Amino acid sequence: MAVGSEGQVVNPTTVNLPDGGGATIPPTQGKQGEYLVSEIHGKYFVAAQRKGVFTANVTAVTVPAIAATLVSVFTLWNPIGSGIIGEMIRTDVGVVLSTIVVDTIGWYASFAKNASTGTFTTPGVGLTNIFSTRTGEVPANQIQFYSAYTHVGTPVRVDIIGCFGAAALTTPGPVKLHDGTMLVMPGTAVSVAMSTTVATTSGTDLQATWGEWPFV
Amino acid sequence: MGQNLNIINLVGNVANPASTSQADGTQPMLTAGRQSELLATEIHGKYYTTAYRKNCFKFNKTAVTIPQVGSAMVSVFSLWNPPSSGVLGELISVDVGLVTATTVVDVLGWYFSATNLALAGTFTTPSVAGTNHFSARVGDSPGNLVAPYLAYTHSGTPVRCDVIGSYGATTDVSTQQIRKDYDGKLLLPPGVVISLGMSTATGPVGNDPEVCWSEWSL
Repeated sequence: MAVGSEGQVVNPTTVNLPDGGGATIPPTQGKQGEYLVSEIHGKYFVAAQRKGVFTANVTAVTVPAIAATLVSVFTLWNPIGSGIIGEMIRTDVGVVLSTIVVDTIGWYASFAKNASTGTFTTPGVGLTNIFSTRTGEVPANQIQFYSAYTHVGTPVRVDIIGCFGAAALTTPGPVKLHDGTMLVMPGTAVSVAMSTTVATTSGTDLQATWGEWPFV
Repeated sequence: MGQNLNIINLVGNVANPASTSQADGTQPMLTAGRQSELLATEIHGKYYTTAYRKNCFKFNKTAVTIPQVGSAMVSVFSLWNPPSSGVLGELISVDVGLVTATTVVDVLGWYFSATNLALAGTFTTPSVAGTNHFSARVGDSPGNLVAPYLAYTHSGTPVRCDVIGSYGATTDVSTQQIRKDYDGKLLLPPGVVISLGMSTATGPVGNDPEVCWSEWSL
């Protein structure tokens, strides 16, 4: 049996319904049959409202150049048994000194045993450098932040964040909106590092924002 | 009657969403706006579901010199969708970082060869999974069908199909690498290879390019 339409093609600029009760017309559709919708929140509001979005940040660090046994100053570690997958939302790179090193900055990953056997030197501290995006709440993150972590072997670049094109800059620091294209699996450690040259000494502020979702 | 019981008569509830907060486990009517449009909230980044389903990939390379387009261009950064792949590639974004302070005033773009010309090229150096290309599920093995190449020589002169960006001076005093978000407007069908190339001069000695794409059944 054919099922009728679940909406109605109308010109929405001619409609203004009052609040209260059921709408007098079905949900509006466009001329291609698509539902017309209005967003009511930012993309990450629901996850944040449900206590699933976190940030970590550090001040005036020296971002290392990629190398074997990289000593990272900014690492996210998703433990093997976490039961969650990390959705990277945004990475911010701030400049706190006027002299910059020309280079590309990115996320570098170690996997499985290489990741778990790294040296987890300095864990982040809730409400000091790890935060819930429900500002003021104690974060209940499963992905762990480390302001010092030493990789085993040489991690590989899995995402380019941005670059510094000159030693003196005229624009804000790089920002990467990941928009779902970088997911951190259990058993993975990702660190921020430079492509070819160590960054300016004590010249960079870093922040990562991520969401956590059940993963089976 | 609620919309869950009779989809033929589905209607929303026109209401101010800021004035309500439903408890978990309840089944309220869908909220509609004053134009009877459904009110919606995204819960993930646009490409999360694609990535979660093992269908989003990245390819990057350090310190390459992007060639000027020409006959038999020797590309250092190519994506090849084999004729029998059975998938359509959707480019998501491309980033081109700098590792040198001296740039070249020029325009960067994607250049393509198709069908027989693409097949007649020389597929010199395929990328290695886990070294230069990756699943967007960081830590997973990528199951990509579109194949990235670190070296590929075109047959004939590839044609520019997309302008990515440009350097306007020999010193780039910005922190924003060349980046383009495609949002569905550049697709890679089977039998087509695309390569990064410069318009009129060889690129800087020191670009870090990265491309992100997804794959869809034809």
